[in-house]
Amino acid sequence: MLSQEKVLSLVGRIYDAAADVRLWPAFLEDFADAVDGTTTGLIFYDWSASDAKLDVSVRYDPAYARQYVQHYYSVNPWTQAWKKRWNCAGPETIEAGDENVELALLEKTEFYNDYLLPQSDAHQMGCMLTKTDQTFAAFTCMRRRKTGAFGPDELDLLRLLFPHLQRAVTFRRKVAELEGRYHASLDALDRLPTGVILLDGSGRTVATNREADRVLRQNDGLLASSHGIRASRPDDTQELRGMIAGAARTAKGEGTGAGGLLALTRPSGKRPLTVLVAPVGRNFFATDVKTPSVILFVTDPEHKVESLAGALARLYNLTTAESRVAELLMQGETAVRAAERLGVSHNTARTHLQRIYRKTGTMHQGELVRLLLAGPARLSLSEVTEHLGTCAR
Amino acid sequence: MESRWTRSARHPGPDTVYTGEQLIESEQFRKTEFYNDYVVPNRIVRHFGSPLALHPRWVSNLSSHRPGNREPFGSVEIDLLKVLFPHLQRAIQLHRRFEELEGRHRASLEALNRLPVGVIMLDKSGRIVATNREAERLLHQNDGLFATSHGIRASGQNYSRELHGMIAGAAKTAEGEGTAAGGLLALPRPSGKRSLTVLVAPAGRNSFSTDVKTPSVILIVTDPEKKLDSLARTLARLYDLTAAESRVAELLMQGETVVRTAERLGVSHNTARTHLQRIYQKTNTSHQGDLIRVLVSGTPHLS
Repeated sequence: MLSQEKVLSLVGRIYDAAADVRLWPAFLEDFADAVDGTTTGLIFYDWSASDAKLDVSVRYDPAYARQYVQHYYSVNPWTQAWKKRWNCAGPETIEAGDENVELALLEKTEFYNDYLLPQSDAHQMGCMLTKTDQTFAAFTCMRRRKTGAFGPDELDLLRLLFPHLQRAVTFRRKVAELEGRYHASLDALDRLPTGVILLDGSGRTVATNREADRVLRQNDGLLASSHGIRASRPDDTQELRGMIAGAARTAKGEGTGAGGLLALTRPSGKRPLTVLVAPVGRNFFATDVKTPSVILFVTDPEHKVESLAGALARLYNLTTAESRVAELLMQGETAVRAAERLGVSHNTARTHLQRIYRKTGTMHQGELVRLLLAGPARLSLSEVTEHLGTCAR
Repeated sequence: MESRWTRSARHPGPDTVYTGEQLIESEQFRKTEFYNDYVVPNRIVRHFGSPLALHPRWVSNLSSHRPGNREPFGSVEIDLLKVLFPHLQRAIQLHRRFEELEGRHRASLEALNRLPVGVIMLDKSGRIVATNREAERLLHQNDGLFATSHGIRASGQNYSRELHGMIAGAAKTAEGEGTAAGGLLALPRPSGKRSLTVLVAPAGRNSFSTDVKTPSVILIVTDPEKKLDSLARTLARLYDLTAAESRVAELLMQGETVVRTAERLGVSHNTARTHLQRIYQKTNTSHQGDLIRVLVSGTPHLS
């Protein structure tokens, strides 16, 4: 049996991997060393998918691993036996492959002769770590034929490590779930025309969306510095920082400042940026981590919604000419100017406009512009319209 | 007491495990107010522990206590804590990692909740994983877009089919198996209200998460009928409008004509037109379409 020190070191490796999945191989190597094993890995199966996924493993031949996923997984007699016997996950699922399928029987299979034998492997042990309706996570370790079958010592070691492996896999799943949702939220924010900046309690930037990046890149009105966010004018900076500090206190549960609204003057002379400062709901347990506690919403009145014609044509069934007129009106042009810019007569433009009103269910220009701005323009559509440009309605 | 502890806290490690007796001379300590009025009544006379992790703004510490009538902590306990030390440090690291992620996730959701667009996150099979506040409002209306146990559905079979096609395409792209960028749809509403605008897009980075239910597709839904919340005060503040001017601006922004605006505010058409001229001046615009663009795109519409 392994010394307590060695076992604890293996336990430590497991939690290192829970914190950073790139460290799984370090644990798997140590484990393989401890039990004189060969290929050792964590496997995540999806019942609904046709193939298995070897998420992390060590001491394997990539060519064989590929073949395993593509073919040998489906003829692996151990897996067939697991599927029948492992209805649950738990330490009781720890067993050696030899308990499942006798070596004499195994030797007659395609799996043994074409997959195991060329790699000199013949023995295995493993267990089911977690199981849901759709998926399960398993741990497996192989051994050479000449080393002999896994015995009680090796199975006992796996029993000791089991709860830790299970926790690490569960933790990893929780983190992956949260990470997936966080990235999806950022993706959604990237597609909106409002700039969003998440700040920590001291006003430093934690995350920005695409529109906020665009505004900050211009260095015109609002600037990102290593000391936090600031405005172009010192007066504005002071007011902005005051609001951020107030909102941060509210987020910590120490104040009631709800943030505020600011118009930031721009050196370029363009219309001021509008910034709304708001606290993030109370962070109860985050004194020691850098989490966002303040959100800035930034809008730029000068930012023209560009190349929306394709999207408008698709959404409201407009002709190409009509969608160009609609786009120009949306950008703030009059019908007369729109006609001039498109090089058509005023009468033609007026006819287009009447058809646009009909197709969009609006009656006059103000209503039309409002509809377009409240609907399609609230999405950042440039990517989509590029894509739509290539496929006909 | 603090100073010696603070020194050891600078380099937390198995060697910084201490007992109360090592930190402070017992006799001297027993004369303090802290000892007599706090330590003794709380039965925490015996004490051992260690700083575990250090950060510029905080330090985390583990300590354990016993009443004075028990043996002081000794080598058995110290050795136990030394063995556990790296595991405790890892636990703190894991905790911090998770908290950081959770904090960011919560803040990004809050940002989405405050925006006037509906956001619906779907997994790769089209089931709803998360929605923001505006999306909940829209789904609650059952008008144009519905939530079912199988996922999301539009009013009308053809629209549902088109929506599902776009969702499936975007999900494949998110899984790295396709290049469909999603798409854009106007979904008519049985109530006769203006169509919802729906953008379907692939989302998330699904690395290393075969067994996790993460969002693969996002739907962004806008409702052109959504009334912009009372913005009169915001407008007044941003553009230095008078109360009367900001009321005019707000109604124009909601899609009213100047004539209707005058009627609704109970003022003459001429007065409304005068207000409008001043609003043009203050917002640096020249006509209604331009004004509405500046007001709508330059004002943070938060729900």
